[in-house]
Amino acid sequence: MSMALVTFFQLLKLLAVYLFITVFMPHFVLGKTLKLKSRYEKFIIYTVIGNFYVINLVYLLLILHIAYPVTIFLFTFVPIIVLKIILENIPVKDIVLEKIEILRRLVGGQLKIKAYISQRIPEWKLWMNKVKLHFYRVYFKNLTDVIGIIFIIGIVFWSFGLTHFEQFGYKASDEIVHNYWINEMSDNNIFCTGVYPYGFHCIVFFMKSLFGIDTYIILRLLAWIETLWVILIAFCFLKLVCKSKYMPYIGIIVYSLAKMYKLEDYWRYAASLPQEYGMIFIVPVLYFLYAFFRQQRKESRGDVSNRSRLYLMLLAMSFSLTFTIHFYGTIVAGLICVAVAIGFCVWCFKVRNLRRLLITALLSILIAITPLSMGLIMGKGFQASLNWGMNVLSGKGDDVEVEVDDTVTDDDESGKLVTNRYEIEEKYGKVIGSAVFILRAVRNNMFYNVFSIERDNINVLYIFLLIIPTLIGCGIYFILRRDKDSVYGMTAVSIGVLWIFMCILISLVTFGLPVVMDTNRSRVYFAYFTCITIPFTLDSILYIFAGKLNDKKRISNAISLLCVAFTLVLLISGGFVRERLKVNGAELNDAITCLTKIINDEKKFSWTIISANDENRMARDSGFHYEIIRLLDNMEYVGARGRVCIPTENVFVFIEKIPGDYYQPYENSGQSISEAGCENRLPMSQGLSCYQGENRWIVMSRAYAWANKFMELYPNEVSVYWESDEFICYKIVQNPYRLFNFAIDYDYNLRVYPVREEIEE
Amino acid sequence: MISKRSFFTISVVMLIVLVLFQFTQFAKYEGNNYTFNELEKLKMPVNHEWQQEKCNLTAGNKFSFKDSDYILFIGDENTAVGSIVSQWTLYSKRNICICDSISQFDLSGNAAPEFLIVDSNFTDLVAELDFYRSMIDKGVSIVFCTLPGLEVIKSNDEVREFLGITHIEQDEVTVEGYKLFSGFLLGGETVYQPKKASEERRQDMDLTIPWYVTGGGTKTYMVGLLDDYFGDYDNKNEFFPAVIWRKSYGSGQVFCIAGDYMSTTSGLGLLSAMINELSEYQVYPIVNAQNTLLVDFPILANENEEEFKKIYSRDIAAFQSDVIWPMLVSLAEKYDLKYTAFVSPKYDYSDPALPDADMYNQYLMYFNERDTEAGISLEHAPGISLVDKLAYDEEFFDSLEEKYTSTSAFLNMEDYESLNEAIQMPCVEKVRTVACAEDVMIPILSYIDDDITLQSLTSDTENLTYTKDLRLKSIETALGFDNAKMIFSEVFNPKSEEDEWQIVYVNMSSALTTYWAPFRVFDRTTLAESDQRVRVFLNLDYDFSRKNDEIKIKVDGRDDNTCYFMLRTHGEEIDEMKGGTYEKIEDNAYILTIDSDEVKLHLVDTNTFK
Repeated sequence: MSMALVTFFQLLKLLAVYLFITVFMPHFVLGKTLKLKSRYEKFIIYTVIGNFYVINLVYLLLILHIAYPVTIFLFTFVPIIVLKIILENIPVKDIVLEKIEILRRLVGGQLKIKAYISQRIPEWKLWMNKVKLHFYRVYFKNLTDVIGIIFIIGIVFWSFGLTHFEQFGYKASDEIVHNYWINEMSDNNIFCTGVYPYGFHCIVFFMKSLFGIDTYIILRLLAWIETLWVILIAFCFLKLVCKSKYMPYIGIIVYSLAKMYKLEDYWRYAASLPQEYGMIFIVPVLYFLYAFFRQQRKESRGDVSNRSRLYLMLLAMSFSLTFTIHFYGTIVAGLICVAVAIGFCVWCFKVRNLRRLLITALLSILIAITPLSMGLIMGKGFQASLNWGMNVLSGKGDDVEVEVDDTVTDDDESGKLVTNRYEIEEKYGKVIGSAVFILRAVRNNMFYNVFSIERDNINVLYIFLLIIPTLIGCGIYFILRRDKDSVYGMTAVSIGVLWIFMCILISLVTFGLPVVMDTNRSRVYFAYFTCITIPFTLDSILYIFAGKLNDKKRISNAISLLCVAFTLVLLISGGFVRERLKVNGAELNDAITCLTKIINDEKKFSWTIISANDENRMARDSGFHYEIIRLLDNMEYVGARGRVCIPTENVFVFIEKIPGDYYQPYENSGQSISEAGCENRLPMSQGLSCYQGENRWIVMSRAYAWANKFMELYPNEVSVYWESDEFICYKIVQNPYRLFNFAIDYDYNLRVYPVREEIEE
Repeated sequence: MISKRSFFTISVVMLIVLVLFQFTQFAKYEGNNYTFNELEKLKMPVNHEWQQEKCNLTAGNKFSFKDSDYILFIGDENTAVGSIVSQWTLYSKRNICICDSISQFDLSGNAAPEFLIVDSNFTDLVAELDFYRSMIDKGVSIVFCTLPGLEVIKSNDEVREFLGITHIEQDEVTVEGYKLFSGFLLGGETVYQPKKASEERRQDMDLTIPWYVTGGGTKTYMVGLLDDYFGDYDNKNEFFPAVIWRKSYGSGQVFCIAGDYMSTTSGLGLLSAMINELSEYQVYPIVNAQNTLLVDFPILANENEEEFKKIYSRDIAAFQSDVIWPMLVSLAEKYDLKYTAFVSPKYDYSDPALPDADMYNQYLMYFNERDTEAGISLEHAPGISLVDKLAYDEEFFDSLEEKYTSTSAFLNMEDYESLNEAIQMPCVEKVRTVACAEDVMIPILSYIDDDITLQSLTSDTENLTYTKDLRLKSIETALGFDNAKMIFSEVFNPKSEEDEWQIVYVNMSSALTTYWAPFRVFDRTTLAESDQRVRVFLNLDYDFSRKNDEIKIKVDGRDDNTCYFMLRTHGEEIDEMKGGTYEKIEDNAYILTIDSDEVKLHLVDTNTFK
């Protein structure tokens, strides 16, 4: 089976598992109790509840040092079943007694199996009819939506998923760090390198422990699933707030396909990272605030369902999840809260609502902070990257020096003029000049950081600034115009305000504001929100015009469908479809293929992989790892007099014949291992630097020379397990009771090398 | 009152039962043609033994090899080591060049040998180190059957480095036992260290050895075990005293044996295993026969009656038929054994008891039922010559109404010299194969003359020591052959409690469970069946070649008989075989049963990602 096919099945399994966690499990417990009408709302709520439950459950078990597959299984399913019984008032005792009675009668011969079956047939028929009806309601009645969702999944798969079938390795350098932290959870060590948002790790650990999927497989492929969820959540939100049926598709189509974003805006979706995972819970914050006010409105008019409390609880959950998974998500969620507070200011500042919202905010912060505080109480400090983040927020970081950048580039007639704030203010006056400066600054930041357009067309970006007045204008129009559209209007204002915040967020340096989030991250959120603002703006405009028509629903749906079709035609015929995401893996495909084969075929913990770094964490649950630099270092200058023993029966050596750069390209990147590479001094073995840039080429060249010499000495014990143009894997079979000494003389390790300074001299 | 009708019915039923039982016994008796030896009909290949080209430079022969198809042995053919090397070359169908000093061997202009075997008593390693290095450079691997003296190794860094010894930890250390690692000899990993008091009697190995510590580029096959060593090495396995190891040089390898293993038949298997270690695969002919010999069973005369009754409360005849034979049958069924029983008309000719013809016939019948071959035992108590014994036995066999022809005989080693004379006697004139005790100077398998083969004993079941087990594994590795004896003369004339049947039986049973278990895949044969295979084996010549994953074996001299080969690999498995069948013995070892002159094997490498 090819690795691509293996990856496909792994992805299917992972998708099924994630669906189980985020949809089926919550639906099983709450499906009948919540009685939600909208499937889109269900999807958002289930996703939040499922993640909240799993993350906090795993956290509790880890803190109690009892996080093992058995305990996770018990603590996952027993509360679920108990909760379902309680919520649905299921008469368990009666059901059990009834079944026992049937069994007793069957065993005693009073009831024949045939008779029993014939008695049950009408029930089964009824059940089958219900299933059929359900399918009819869900799928056939909403065929366009079903097709639409399949279409969304398809474009997300094409745009963000196919890269996983071309590059099997990790696609971001910090994935291996997260892998390490998740591995440590197997030893009930939750904050192994310090306190850090743990939500993402808990989810991966849960899937690994309960479903037996290796961590490295989850981390390789969860990226696509989290991207799908991020986009589906935005889609569901749009479906719930937009007035026209098909306008939400435009946002998704543009965001997934349009050739207008920079690669930096979305390449991170190729890697399974907490920030991107945390993005799943940002839009739910917006939705639950919206839903709360909508429900509050209903309740103030006599609705007795008291569902507003539910939405507040869900708001607390989703806000705490952003904090639990990645702090940057919390910053954006905070901005959303402020934007909604402004948009819904009329209702928000009512005493009752304000009190409830403040309690919710406190609760959500408490839920999020308590676990981290526990970590600190346990004596763990903040993880290094978190210290960096805290410094960013407090403006103390070395690399976050806040400088007021008054200079914004702009073209004048000569095309080269650099205009600064003071010159603009001088030209247009203080007030207008400041406004012009702000608009240009945001436009330029969009140009440099978010959108990929020709410099000549830079002014097109003002369209994205036009969204703000459009949304706020439409919002005010709806608020003033009709009472029943006031929630929609306030939502439009909120999104308009949010868009202002996002524009400021990507221009913090220019405006001289504290850089609470570096541009590399804020651009991801900015780009993401375009998939909400664009369709919602269009929807607002459409609703203004269609609202005056008699058959407004049907017409607005038809127009929105036309807009979708037009967008698609424009993208395809205009050549505006971007290339699908292609991100190189840190590891060669051959290495991942070999690793997968070894994990699947070899007896657990009977093997060791000698390689450069990544397999160290990937193989942790099945075998051992030995650093290639450590091997070479232990025989440098001492040859066979050194002693390197690796205590497993099988030893696999991964050598890159064309070494990668490992995120650090150099002048001769892509060169093959060679004797010239061997004739260099072995790099220092500390840290990652020995595997980066030219050092990797030297290490791999030396390792290849060693492996060939070792194979010469042990021809029957060493075999080539896998070889391609770029990669070779050797398999060494040794007697575990009398280990080989891997230290040998391979010529290059016994030479005295001049230090680099001497060569340069 | 019983009615007439019921009475009739009961009578008929009883009659039917009676007839049924009696009929089976009658049929068994009438159908048992026990006086005819079926094995006599076995078609034996004629003697055209493979002719080894031997060039003894010490004896003044001229060097005659043009290619590298010979083994160079530096030593004396007439020593134990020389005899073993000579036998191994014969069985593995290799030519041999022998010299007792390297000065007699001139490599210049001649093809280098395939393999160099050195008896260190015939070389000065320090002075001749350059010669050995030059051999390694030419790609010739070297086996040091014995190592030079400890002082030589200790005092010379170059010698130590050449042999792969990093240092000598102690001049002498008493080990607790030995560990033979798997993959070298057949039979898997074996620990020769008694764990229970009852196993201590098995330990007969020399436990005092020099402590050689091997270094990089070596692979160790056997080590001494130390339970309580708390030295600098913290009891690490890698520092246990090396006993058999190799040092790799890329072009060639140096095998070292620190011990006296090459002067016994253990050497045969060690050499086969070493050759296997040198190549990616190895194909060589084997016998594929496992014989279990019941020597002096049954004894037909009621000898030693008084003492026997004291111990066993019955005479020999009753004890043999009521106790021993049923137990032997159950043993055979449990371990799938095939017996060759060497009938002894009389063991102690000073005893007045006479052989019993009825007992003879009874046992022939038993044997015929159980696929057991009846041979004749030429063993006897001291005080009579072999010829006189046979003359006495002749009278007994002449007196029998129906004559049974034995084709196998068991010979006492002391009578080996008088075998040629004895074989002329009418009662043994049809004997085609003789089993006798092992003597390192006598080949295990050979032709005594054109008609008669010799198959030496290789193991014994009742007293299997660790040395004997190592020998068993070696011979199984080299020849796929075992001639295990169960000698009953001592049971019938016990000198100590250890010789009594109940103890002998327990020992036999435990040894068969433990030590023969790895070799159950080999065919069980009687001595006559084995004889046929031995003849084919001795006549065989073969050649093999490999292209990619396909091995081609060309067999010559099998005369339409089935022959057997051993295939040993390193991580490869047989995928397909044309021209025969195969059976796995253990990982990387197969028996090939070959019925044609050309065989093709397709291998798959399990160490490669498919």
